[in-house]
Amino acid sequence: MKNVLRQFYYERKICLPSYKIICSLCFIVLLGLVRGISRTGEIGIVLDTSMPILAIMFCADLYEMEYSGKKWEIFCLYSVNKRIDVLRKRLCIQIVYLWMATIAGYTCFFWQRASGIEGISDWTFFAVSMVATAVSIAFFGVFSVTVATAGKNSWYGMGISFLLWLMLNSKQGEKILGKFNLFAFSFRNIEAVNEMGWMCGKGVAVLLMVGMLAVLPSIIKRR
Amino acid sequence: MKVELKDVTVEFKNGVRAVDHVNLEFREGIYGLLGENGAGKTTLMRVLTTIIKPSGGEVRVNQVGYEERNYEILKKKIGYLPQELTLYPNLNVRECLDYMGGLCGVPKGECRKRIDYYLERTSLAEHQKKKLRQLSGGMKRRVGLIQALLHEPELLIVDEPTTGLDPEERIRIRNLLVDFSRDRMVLFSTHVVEDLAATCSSLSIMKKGVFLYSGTVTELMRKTEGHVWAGVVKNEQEAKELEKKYYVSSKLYVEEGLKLRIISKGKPEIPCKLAEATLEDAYMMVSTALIN
Repeated sequence: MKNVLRQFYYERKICLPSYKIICSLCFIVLLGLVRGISRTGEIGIVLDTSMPILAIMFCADLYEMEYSGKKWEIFCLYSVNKRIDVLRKRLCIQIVYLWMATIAGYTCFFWQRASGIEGISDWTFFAVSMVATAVSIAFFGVFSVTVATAGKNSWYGMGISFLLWLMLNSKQGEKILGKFNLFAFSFRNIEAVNEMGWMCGKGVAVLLMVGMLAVLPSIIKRR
Repeated sequence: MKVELKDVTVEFKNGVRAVDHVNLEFREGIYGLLGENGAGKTTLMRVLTTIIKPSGGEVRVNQVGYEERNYEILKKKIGYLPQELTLYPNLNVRECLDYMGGLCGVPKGECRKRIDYYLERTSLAEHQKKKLRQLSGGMKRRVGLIQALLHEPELLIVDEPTTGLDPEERIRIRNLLVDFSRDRMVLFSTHVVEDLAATCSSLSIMKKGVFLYSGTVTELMRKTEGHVWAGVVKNEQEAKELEKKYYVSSKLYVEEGLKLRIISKGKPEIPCKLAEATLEDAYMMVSTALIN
């Protein structure tokens, strides 16, 4: 257990340097300033669609960072299982961190004294938003690192993931995919709290994510 | 223990042949690889580390062939220090080594002991709490060397390990490598001839992907004997004339004029006498094709 924690500690220092933390906090503060909200139900919508941008940028280089400074010449001497393990730990750290940043972001918005919606508890909005955003963050994190690792370039990961984000977060994306859109949560009627159709989009994302995580080891082996 | 390369060729997609039908065999101890920049030394080392698959030929370490199914076994046997290595800037020296030791599968307690030992041997003990981004080039090089030694590999491949080190540190690192090579194989690539002279008993000299010489240092020195001359000319003009005819390996201004060291099969046309050959002279003789 101690060994695992030690490895997580080192991975955190490697993949989550202070500049990433500062960038993410600035992003959240800016989001709070730019995207004014009037009702608590809107907070989740803003975070569900915006936090994946950070996930794309933070996760795309998780494997590619080993390819800078000739580190990869040493890194590829480690067993494939170790390399896969490193990537999984880094992904886990980034996703958990971004999710925690989302909670901080939610609090920031909440402090702006947004008005609640009658009959629906603020805690319900909070809980639902955290679940929805966690899936979006994890999906885009896994997607960007998969594309970057397969394309051997973190810019591919960022570029293609951003295009996907744009497509899903558009009117066309809403029309074509409907409730199977990852961001269906943002397109829903916030007052219809019992309407859970958006879960289909999150479910599809979880399935795709599991698929990508299953494919990642073979991509790493191929390299 | 034995490393064997038989007829190894590496040809890149653009048609450049970086390694051209190379044959090599070496056992325990330090084996030197000497050559100018772009000679193919690094490519050859990348073949040995399994990073590059050769286009042709056969490679074996302790009878284990370089085939994909053997890569996992082979990689455990190899320690590698590449050129211009940049490790994790946010970790301090000890953390970085502890992290890399963990990835190599060195047990925690053993890893700590080895880190302590190598930090002491490389004079990095007092800098172990410094972040890697705060270290000088020479210190980073030493950290890079320690990570290659941590899992005590059977085959250690070091690409210019003494780059950026001051003379005292270079000697320390050379001695460390000699101690390490007692029952292991070390392939030491450099273009600093002094380093090889101080550590190796056998070496290969490489140029444009081929070995110009492979054998013992003693044999190479024996071949060089009688081809190195020392003489004095009056001025720069005379020196320039001589440079057109012979390979002048060094020039030094002295009271009498200009003292030259000339490498030539025959006696040069100036008053001069035979000088004791160094490994640098031998290298120059081989690379300028005066001997093979």
